[in-house]
Amino acid sequence: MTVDVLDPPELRIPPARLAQLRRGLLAELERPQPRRPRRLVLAVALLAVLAIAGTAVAVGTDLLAQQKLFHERYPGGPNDPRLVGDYAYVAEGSDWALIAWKSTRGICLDYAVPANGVSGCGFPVAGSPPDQVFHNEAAHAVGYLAGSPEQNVLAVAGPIVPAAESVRVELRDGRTLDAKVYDAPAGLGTPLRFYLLRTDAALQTAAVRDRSGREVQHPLSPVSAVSAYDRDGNLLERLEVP
Amino acid sequence: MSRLDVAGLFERHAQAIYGYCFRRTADAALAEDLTSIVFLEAWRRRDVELTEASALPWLYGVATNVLRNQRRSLRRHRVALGRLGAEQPEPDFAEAVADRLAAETEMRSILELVERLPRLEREVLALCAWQGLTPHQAALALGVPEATARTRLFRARSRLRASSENLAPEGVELS
Repeated sequence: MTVDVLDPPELRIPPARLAQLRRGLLAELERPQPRRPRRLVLAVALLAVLAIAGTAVAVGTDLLAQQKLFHERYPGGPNDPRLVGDYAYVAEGSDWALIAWKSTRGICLDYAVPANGVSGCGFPVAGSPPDQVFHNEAAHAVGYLAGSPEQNVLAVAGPIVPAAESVRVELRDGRTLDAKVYDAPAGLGTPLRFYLLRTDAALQTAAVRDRSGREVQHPLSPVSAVSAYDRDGNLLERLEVP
Repeated sequence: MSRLDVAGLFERHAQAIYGYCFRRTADAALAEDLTSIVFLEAWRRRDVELTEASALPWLYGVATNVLRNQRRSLRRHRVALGRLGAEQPEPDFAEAVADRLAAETEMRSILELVERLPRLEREVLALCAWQGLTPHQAALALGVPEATARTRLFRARSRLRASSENLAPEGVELS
């Protein structure tokens, strides 16, 4: 078969189908949606949740070394984060750790347990290192990452502006819980602070129909909103998750 | 941009974006999903200031990013795509399907050759040679200097020309 590389075939969407897509698009735009930076945070959180199955890299109980090895072994595609500097513990327990690192995608956070973890980057929180891929304006007071690498334990974490003293997390199951707040590790070289909430929660899913009309289960974010407050209890920002 | 602005962009440019997505994937159904995602992404980035001249290059830039991160884009917008509705049956259904299959087959053959090019050259080639953008417009779409776009286009054509000389008689024709 002879093909002309510089003259590929042209295919068009039939007019009736195009009109249908336009109607669907308009209906979709009518739905309440967060502005772009929030959607990025949500996408980071969902990607982290979905990445659970593939992160099993165990290095004893040195969770920082575990995460470092994982990222070196699975560097990802050209838009995925590349390390700038070094990893540092934000907080840790007997069998978990919250680890932060600077990357080409801004601040990254890993919540790790032995042989598993969730990771997210590109939080557009004011004071974050710039994201060199999506160039988000870092304008928010709080970012969030949610994941459940441990059985029935949900971790919600994120960076917050230095003025934020407390963070409240509203869960989709109706609970509102206060997270713990930590200063950034000295070596990270950022004025940001971080928060972490560890609680029991199961991942919820919702039934949606794919293009073929088949019903599939789509994971929901376990978080419905994250709010950051200053030392006087004034609300700095509330991020809602659709 | 308002919702109506995005709808207007869709009316004016959806076919062009669909054509680009189809030529980059050789999959008509996937191209349709990616086209919808491009305009959903345009809505997400509605703070951008656009002129009539910059709108289409900007959309091609969004489409290029969506194509680079297809899996993530499809996952992110899976719920919305499900709501956009299943395909309706069309008149002359059999003929439309036959045309579509023929186009996909031909496009797959072309992509087998073009995918030997480095990604950045492939993108400029697709935008300029396939979609008719000028190097200036392609540079806007890709966020690179115009000289860079021109260089990549030159290299892409040179590589394709060189590879066609190594093919058996039933091979690539280059204009």
